[in-house]
Amino acid sequence: MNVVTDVDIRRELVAANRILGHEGILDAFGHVSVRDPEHPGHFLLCRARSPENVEVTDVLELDAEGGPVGGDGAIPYVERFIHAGVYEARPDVGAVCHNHALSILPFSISRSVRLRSTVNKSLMFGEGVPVWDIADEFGDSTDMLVRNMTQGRSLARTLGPEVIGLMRGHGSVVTGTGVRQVVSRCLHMDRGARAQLSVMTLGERRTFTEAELRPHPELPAGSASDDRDWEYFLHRAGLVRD
Amino acid sequence: MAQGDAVVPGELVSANRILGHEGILDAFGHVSARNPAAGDGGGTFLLSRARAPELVEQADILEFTPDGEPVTPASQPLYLERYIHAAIYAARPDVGAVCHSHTPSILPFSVSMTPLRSVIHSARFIGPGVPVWDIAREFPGEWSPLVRNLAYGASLAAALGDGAVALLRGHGCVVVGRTPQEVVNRCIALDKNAQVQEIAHRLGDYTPLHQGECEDILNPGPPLAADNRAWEYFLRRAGL
Repeated sequence: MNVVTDVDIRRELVAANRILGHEGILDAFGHVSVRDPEHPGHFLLCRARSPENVEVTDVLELDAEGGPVGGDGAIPYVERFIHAGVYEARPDVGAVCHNHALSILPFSISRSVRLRSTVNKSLMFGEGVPVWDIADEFGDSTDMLVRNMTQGRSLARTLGPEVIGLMRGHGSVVTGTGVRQVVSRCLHMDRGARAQLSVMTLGERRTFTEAELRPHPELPAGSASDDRDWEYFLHRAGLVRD
Repeated sequence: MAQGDAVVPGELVSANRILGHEGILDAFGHVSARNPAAGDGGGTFLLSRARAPELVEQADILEFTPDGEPVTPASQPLYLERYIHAAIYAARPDVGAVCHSHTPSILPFSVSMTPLRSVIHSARFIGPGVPVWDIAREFPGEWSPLVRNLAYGASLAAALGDGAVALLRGHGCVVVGRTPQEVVNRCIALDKNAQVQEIAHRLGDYTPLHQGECEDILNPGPPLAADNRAWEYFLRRAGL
């Protein structure tokens, strides 16, 4: 096992937790995970603790169905199946965040308006972010939490190939190739949702063209901008790079 | 009488500070807890002297009779609306803590005919529609919105019924729970729910929680580990 890599990825995951807490994307609740580079079916996620409070020692390894691997009996998040379901369905995904950001919640319950691209950084919303309603498959008397793999897989099916999926009356799931990209996307999801709300109150609007909405083949995954974001948010959260 | 060493008074001080820090309470509003040392039924409750919640210290916590009067005559000013707490403890044996707030997000719903209701899962306790208590309707000719005697408190407690939340028209709300931690979590989730509902309403039609998704307040499950997670988080944010 490559110890250095494993330690680095755990540190990066802790930094992502702290950043997303500091920026108000996560509060007492919500969580962020990363695919385990040593066991790609597995993933790393902290024990059930508020993201802004987590330490490296809180990072747990979970298997493909959300079961703790080894471990000391630390209690994982109930909704770890969100992550397990998405990693199983999406080999392209290397990191996942589940959040209850206030800005996206109205779009998760609205029957009139979909969360969609409004500004450059929210192009990832496309023509409309899919909304998973737990009541569709699991009835209207659940506690709305994703408590098992069946529910996690159902959510992953609604997410499909998209970057972001909303969960009715609950929150969102945000995906990325890695921790840095998922952090950037969460921040820009929040800004994009706020921008859309503001635009709606201002009346007539300008829209993106079809060409603008298509991914630019000459602009690859955008990791350089994710790294610039990462450095910036590390500083804002009071975290220092090694 | 200061409750120097018991667990709940310490938690009550923290609840005051947290609710102040999170903007649920400001210079006004208050949070209380049933006195665990006084037994059920005719027991007493604990509440700060009249002070902004974020500034409350252990020595500010006083013990009140079920009628809302201080057990030991107090020289300091008291919250005028302490009868809110007294009346709810009398009416609701299941309630161990009460908060009265003027949180900005909930105020529009206390005036609007649109009912405040559960729209997000963390606010499952709200239910399908929060009752609005209107003091001027209950007590014609009353000139003040303040719950300044036990009869007014009892009227408000009747409007609350078996619920976790009641609104006071043009004034604020009351939030109840089993413990100070539960009341803190509920106040913060209520604030978020109100903001989300208000925005969704502006967007058009929206889907609230189904009846079966709302929490059965009187038959709750055991407290979740999540309650402790949130408490640790809020303590740290408030610098406690």
